[in-house]
Amino acid sequence: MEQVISMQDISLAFRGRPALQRLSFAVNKGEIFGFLGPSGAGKTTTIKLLTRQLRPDSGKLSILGREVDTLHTDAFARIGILTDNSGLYERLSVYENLRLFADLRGLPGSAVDNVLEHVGLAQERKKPGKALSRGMKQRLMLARAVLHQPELLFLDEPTAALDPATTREIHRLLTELNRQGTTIFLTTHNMEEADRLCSRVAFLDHGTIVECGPPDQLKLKYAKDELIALTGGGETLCVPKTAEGLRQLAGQLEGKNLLTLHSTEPNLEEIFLQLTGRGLL
Amino acid sequence: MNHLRTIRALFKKDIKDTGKNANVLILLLLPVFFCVLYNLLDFGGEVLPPEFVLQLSVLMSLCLIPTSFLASIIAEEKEKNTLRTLTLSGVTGGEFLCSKALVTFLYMQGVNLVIFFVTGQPVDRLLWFFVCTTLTSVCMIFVGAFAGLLSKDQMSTSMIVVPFMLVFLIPPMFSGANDVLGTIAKFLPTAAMIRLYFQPDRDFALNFTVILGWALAALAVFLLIFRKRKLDN
Repeated sequence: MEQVISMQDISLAFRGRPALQRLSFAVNKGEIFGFLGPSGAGKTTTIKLLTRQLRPDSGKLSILGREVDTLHTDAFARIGILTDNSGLYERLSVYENLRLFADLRGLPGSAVDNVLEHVGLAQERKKPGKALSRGMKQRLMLARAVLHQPELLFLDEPTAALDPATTREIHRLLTELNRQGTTIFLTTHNMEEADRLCSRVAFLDHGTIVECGPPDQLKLKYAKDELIALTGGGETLCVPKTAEGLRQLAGQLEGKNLLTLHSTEPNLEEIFLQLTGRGLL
Repeated sequence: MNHLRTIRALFKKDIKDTGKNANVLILLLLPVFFCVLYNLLDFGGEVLPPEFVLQLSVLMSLCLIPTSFLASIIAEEKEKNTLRTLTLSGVTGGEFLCSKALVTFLYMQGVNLVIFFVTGQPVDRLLWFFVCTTLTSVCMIFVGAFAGLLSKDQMSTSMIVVPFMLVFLIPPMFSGANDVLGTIAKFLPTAAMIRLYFQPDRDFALNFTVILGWALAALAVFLLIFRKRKLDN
C-alpha cells in the first residue's frame, strides 16, 4: 500500500529535554490515522515536524513520497493543515477569508461557494470572522484546509473545546472527505473521537509510540478473556470466554432471566491507562 | 506557486483588511490632519509658508507610514497566527513582504498626494515630488519591514520604530533653528529629500547619495535580520 507519511527514528529535544524519542510509524493512503496521547506527549510536535515548522535532531521523515526537507512550496497544494495555531482574518468576512486562499491556489470563486455549502456556513458568508462562534470558526478553518481538495490533511485536535453537535458535524465532514480519497492524520486526546473516526491509532506517551493498530484489534488484544452476564434478579455472573465457560454460564442461568451478556473489551482510554499508567487527560 | 498570482491575492486581501483596520488608518490621517492644521494657523496675520507646511507634513508622512504602519500590519499577522497559516499554504516571506510594502507605499503616496494639493503645490512639480518621496520611502519601508520582523506583536513595534522615527523626523524639522541638528540633518534621507525636491540643482549628488546610501544600509540590515530571524517566530 502506498505510504503518504513515513517517520523513521525521529528524535527531537527542546533545551535538552526529549520531546520525541526514536519515533517511527507510517500512514497509508486512504487512512484516517489517529495520534492519541495526553497533553505534552508530543502530538503537536509531530505535526509540526511533518509540516516543516520544526526540524528533527535525527531520523528520516517523508510525506507524499518525498523527504520533508526537499519538499518545494508547491507541495502545499497537495496538503491541508488545521492546527491549534491556525489564524483567521477577523475583519474579513467568511467569504473573503476563503476567497484569499482560493486566489492563492488559483481556484475559482465557485470552489469557495461549494466548500461553504459543505461545511454549513453558506448563510454566514458575509459575517466577519470576529462575529463567528467558536464552532463556526473551526468549521471555517476546516473549510480553508480542504478548499483545494488536498490529498493529505493534517488536523491537530480538530474538535478540542467544541460542543457535541459541532463535533459530530466535523466528524461527518472528515468521514466524507476520507471517502472521497483524502488521507487524514489527526491528533487528539479524545478517545471517543479516535474510536469513531480512525482506521488506525497510535498511542503516544512521552515522545514514544507505545502501541499502534486498528481500534477494534487493540480492544480485542487487551480484552479480558471473560464474559459478563446480568440476570433479571440483579445478579452478575462472570465466566471465562471459552466453550467451557459458556457451558458453565448456561448452567448458572437455569431458571433465571438473562438481561445482558457482553464481553469485556476495554475502550481506548483504558488500554492507554493499562499501557502507561496514566489517562489521556 | 505563481509569484505574481500570490502577490496579487495577498495585495487584494491587504487592501481590504487595512481598509477596515482603524488602528492603522489613524496613522494615515495624522499627517493630513497636521497639514490642514498648519495651513489654518494664523500668527497675528502671518501664516506658515506652504513650502514649510509641505515639508513638515511630508516628513511626518514618510516617518510614520512606512515605519509604524508597515511594522504594525506585519506584526499583527504574526500575533494573530495568520502569517503561519499563509506560510503553511506555500506563501514565501518575499511574497508576503512584497504585498505589505506595496500596500504601505500606495497608502503613503496617497497621503502625500493629498498633502501636495492641500499645500497648493504646482501640478507641474507633482512628478518630481513623487520621484523624491518614492526614493526616500525605500529606506523607510525597509526600516518598517525589519521592525515588523523583530516584533512579536503590534505593541512591541513602537519600541523599535519610534527611535528611527525621531531620528528621521526631528533634525530635519528643526535644522533651521539649531546648528547641531542642521549638521545631522545633512546626512539624513528625509532632509535630503526635502532639499532634493525644493532645490534639485543644488548639491544633487550629495542629496542623492545620502538617500541611496540609507536605502542600501536599510536593505542590508533587513536582509541580515530576515536571514537570521526568518519571517515567523
